[in-house]
Amino acid sequence: MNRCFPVRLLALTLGILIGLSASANGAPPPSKVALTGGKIVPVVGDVVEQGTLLIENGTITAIGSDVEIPYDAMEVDCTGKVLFPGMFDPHSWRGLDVTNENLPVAPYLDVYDAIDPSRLYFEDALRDGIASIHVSQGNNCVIGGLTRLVRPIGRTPDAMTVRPALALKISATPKSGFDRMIQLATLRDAFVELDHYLERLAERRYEEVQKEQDKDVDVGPAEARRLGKELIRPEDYDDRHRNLVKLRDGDLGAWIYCGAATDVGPAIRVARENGFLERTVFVLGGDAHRAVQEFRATKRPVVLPTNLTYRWYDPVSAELQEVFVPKVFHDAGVPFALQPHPDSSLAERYLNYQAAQLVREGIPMNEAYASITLRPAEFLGVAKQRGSLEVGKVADLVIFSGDPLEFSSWVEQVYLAGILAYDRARDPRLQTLLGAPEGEAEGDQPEEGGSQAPDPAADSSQPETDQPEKDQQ
Amino acid sequence: MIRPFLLGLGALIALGLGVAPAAAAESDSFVLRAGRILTMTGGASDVIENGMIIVRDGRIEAVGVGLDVPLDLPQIHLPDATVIPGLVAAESSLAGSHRGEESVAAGFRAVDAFNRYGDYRAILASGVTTVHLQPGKHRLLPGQGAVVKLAGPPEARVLRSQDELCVVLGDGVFAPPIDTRVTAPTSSDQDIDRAREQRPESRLGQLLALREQVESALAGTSDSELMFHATELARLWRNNARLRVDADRAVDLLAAVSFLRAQGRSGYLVGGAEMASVAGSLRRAGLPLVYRPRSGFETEGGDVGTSPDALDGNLRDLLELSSLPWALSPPLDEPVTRLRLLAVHAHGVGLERQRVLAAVTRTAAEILGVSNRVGRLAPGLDADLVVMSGDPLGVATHVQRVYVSGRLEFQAPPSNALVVRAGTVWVSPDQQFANGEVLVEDGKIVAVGTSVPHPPGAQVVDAGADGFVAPGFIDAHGHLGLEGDRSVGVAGHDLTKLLGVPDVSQQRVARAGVTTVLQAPYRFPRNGTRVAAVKTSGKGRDERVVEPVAAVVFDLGTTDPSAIAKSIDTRLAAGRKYVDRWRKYEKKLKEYEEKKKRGEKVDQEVEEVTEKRGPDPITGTWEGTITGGPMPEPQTGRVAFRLTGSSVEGRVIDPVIDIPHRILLTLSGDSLTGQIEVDVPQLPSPPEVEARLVGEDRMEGTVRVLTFVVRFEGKRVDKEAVEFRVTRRKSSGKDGRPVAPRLDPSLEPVRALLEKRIPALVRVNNAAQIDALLDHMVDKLQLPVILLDAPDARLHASRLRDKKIGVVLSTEVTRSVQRREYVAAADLSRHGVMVAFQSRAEDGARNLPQQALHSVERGMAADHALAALTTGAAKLFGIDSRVGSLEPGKDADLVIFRGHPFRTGASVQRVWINGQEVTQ
Repeated sequence: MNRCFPVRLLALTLGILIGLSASANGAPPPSKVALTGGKIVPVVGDVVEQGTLLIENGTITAIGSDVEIPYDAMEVDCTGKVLFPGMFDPHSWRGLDVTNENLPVAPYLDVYDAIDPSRLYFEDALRDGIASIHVSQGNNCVIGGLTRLVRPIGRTPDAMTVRPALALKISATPKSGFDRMIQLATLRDAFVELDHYLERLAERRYEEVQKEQDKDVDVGPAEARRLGKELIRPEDYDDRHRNLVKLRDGDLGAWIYCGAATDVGPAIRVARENGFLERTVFVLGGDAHRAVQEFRATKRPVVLPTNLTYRWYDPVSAELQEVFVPKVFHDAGVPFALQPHPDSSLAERYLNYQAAQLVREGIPMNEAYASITLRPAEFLGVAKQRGSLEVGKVADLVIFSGDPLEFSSWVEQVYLAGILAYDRARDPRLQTLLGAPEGEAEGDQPEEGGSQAPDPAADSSQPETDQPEKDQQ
Repeated sequence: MIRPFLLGLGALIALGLGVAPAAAAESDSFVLRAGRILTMTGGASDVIENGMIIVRDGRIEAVGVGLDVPLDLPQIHLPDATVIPGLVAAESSLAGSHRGEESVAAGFRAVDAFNRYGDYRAILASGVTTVHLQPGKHRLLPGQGAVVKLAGPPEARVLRSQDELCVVLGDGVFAPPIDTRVTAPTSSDQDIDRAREQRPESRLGQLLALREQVESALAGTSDSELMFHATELARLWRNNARLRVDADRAVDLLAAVSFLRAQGRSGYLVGGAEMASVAGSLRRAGLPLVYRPRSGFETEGGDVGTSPDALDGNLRDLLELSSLPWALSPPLDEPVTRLRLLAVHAHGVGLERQRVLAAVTRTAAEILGVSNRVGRLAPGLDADLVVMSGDPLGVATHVQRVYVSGRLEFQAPPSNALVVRAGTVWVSPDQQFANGEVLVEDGKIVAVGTSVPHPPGAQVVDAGADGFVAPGFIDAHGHLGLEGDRSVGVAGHDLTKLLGVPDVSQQRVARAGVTTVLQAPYRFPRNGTRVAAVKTSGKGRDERVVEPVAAVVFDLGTTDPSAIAKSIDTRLAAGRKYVDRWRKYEKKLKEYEEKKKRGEKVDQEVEEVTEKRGPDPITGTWEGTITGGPMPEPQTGRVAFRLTGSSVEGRVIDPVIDIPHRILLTLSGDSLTGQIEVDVPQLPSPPEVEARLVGEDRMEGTVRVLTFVVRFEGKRVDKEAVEFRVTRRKSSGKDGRPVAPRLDPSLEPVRALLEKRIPALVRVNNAAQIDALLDHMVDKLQLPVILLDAPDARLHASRLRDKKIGVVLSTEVTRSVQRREYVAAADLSRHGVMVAFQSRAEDGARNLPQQALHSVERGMAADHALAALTTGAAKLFGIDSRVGSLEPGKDADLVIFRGHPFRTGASVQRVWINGQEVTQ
């Protein structure tokens, strides 16, 4: 009691000093937070009506209707609101400064070098309740480079990173300027060339080692290659080939884009022949859902296209046909994740809207929830820590003003690792756009806000983006 | 009641059977029976008539005639269709041309560009089920070819790939661009590659360039941009992959031949017109050929005028090469869907039929190395079947269905068009076509002639040279559907109501070629009854009735000839009155309309009539008591009611009320509702009455006046209607428009006769009756008349002929007249009297053609008999705008005979009624 009282006093004082507008954010993050009175949709487990979710040091420690609230926990009243796991953008190039669209085979690239924390996209993601973003090269590539899982706060890519070097991005669908014959020949060539490189490397290593031991090279090239294979050390691989070796050896997974059903077969074959099929996630576009049986046979998960309804004209009757893509995968029992649409003018930009479409088309509610939380967490290998509200998991959560799949619900607050990262009541850009929410008027002048475009540079210094660093301090 | 139920049940079962094969088409196991099967296996069993193909699990199990039909498989019966193997196009641009710049790029696989999930029904519709994929023609070695099927499960579509190298020789591949590649990342151990010039520069270097690349690939010293190209080239070369060498020019063809020989490679050549000029060398080389004639006008933007290589002359080159195996294919820039048309042209310039068909099926499959799967209809091969409307080399033939691996992948859009082709098309007595065709659409004849349009998807029935197509026969007097009911027909009865979905016995009539029956009751009432013209088959009554009142029939029986005039007048008397009423109405209506046009006000004619009605549940005097409401004590009174139809009109007769009033009620079951019309301006709405009959002659109910409710009870005291005077509008509607007389179904036929819209069919029994009838009815009354039976018609033949009076012949073909055999049909028709045949039977009508046959056997002209059964009968009854001939616009009732229907050995083959076949 004595130990904690000054802390709370300090928080209170700081709050008064800095003013209400920045008080909660300015204060050092409390180590214990109790979110009380809200409806908890945990995705795994039963919904708790009017429950309490207790966070200690960024981890969920209790969920239930009769959780005892520690005396030193900061209590946040969530009555009437809904607690939902932080959502995932499972595949996005939008956090990048510039994507690589020129070099077809670039396994040595890493999105780390191009992540721009100041991009508005991250702010938008937070506002839309996205807690984890899988940043990847776009689909306009053959082998695009390493991907990375980040959260939408932090001043540097390092600060944002959840998981580095998560997978290699590959595309089986022709990049611009390519056709299918070139795309697939180039993709196969990358591995043929790797074999060739490894043989040469083995031969060279054998010669080097022999030389180190002052021995003569007394075997033929084929034998030298065989013997040299054992002698290759991880540091011997050059940049161009290192990641491909990791991909084959099981240290990396692949996210393969298939923009059409016909690309799925060759993509699966390349992945299988090079031993990384069981670490592969497929990102779909176009009519790729038609290959659902191939995904089912390989037991591989998929990330669905942003447009969930696929339409085409029947070549004989010329009638417009359509199919609801998630239903195809749901019926076939293939696990899938949804992604938000990059066009901010469409309702599809909201993941909860995407999931709501599933429910409307008859897919069970919990599968719709999972498709934007737990499923992508599983595909990304972070389901032990994220993707649902469970005791022991990282406290990434979204507080909605109502049902998460209701389009009129707002994201009220976002907690990342137990820290309030976003609060609608203190979202300056939203207030400029819509005016201050009721009871939270801060004297913003709408005319002024309307005429002055928000300065993007100012965003990176928003109070909420400071938090993770403070967390780390 | 049972009967309609059974009929309905029968129809349901029939529907069920009809649906079953369609549903079974989903499976890949079935038995397909077809009129003609071209197996393309070569040899004697190449063409199978009326054979069957047994398909199991997507493969052909057996082909032949009279096979044991496996009972577990659904059957598909297509008696008019010709089945051939799916066509094989030895070249196609389905893979498109890749954009690779390497001159020799063995790593490019055409199959990569093939959409395994693609919907190629537009190509299947042309009969092509298998195609070769060419990786492009812009480089010396553009890549690897493949052979694919255009439908089926994606994983099963690729028949062959990764075992064929495509080589292209000629101007198009010279001087490929300089290869400027950027290697990334560049580093101390990774140079920026230097620019590399590519070969061949010209014709001289093309095969040298190829050899160089092969050698460096085999030695592992290739410097191609993608290492994959070199490894693939080495792999395929070592595996002795076949070479497909494409060359337009003769010089390149010769170079290809010597290259293949020198390298000891297997392969085949693809070329065009110049093949003929080196035919000798090609023959010696013995290599298979794919010949792609250029038609010019099939290319988009091309036209015949500017195309110097006329198609025909071009194709004739193939005659020079006929000893070699050759396949046909449209050039890459023309749609692969033209393959069949190309074969049609090739046949047209004199190439042997079987060779041409093989060039797009068996031989093409052999050259492409897929003959173990496609190209023939033989056991063990894929069930890739194309169902065509006729000869595959016929210009107007079209594809009806396409099966790929036993699955129905294409079906022509449903069409109700039918083309019947036969050696003789007998349109009417005045028009016949040798080798004619009839086009039927939507149940009507649309066109007839020596060639008619063939709409896409039309069923084509070829009856052959001895086929004889005639209009369906008409039974001029029968009892179809009466089920033996011999009661006297009631004039108003509509016998067509007995007809529905035809039962088996009616179907037998239809199948005998009798398509229309003039339907009358067994016995006629004195005042005549209607005769309806009905079809012997059809989906329902609406389809079956041609004319509900085609004639009115009388029987003169034994009427004394001298009394005939009076008798006829009596019979027509009621009808005349009825006609007068109508005339009067029509006159009034005309006046009314004229008045209205002039803008004059039309007065409502009012008349006072005294009405009285007999006993019924309501009519009479009722004594009642009224209680409740504002009345201090019950009141009694008497009311007179009159029931007309379901409406009740009444008046209070005691106490006498001065105010004009009328009680208007509607009777429904035992309840009465309505109101009291009363002329009291103060009342905002008339009092409303609700009453119920409780037992005989008793009612109780309520009257609602303003806010009061008054109860009443009544008892009928007098069942005789009370007379009272009624002021009513005199036969005019609300606005003074005259009201039409009530339609009397029993008099309508006579009215139609008197208005000369339909003829009277009169049964006469002796010569004197005929005379008297003609005198009175024809000469005096000027009414249209047809004689029925008329055994003595021969005595009035010339008068009948001159007055154009027809005779429906007695069912006795021959009878004895003055101890000699007399054949009325032959005699009357010879003398120019219009005759028609009758069956006087129900399903016995199926023997009608026999009557005609017997008459012909006894001297009647065969064409007279045919006319009597068709056009003649239709004209007599005025139904010739619908039936009786095959002229465009008429109902599609047609019969195919083998030979003239009334010559020896003729038999009915197939019958259609309203375009629906009844013989299947």
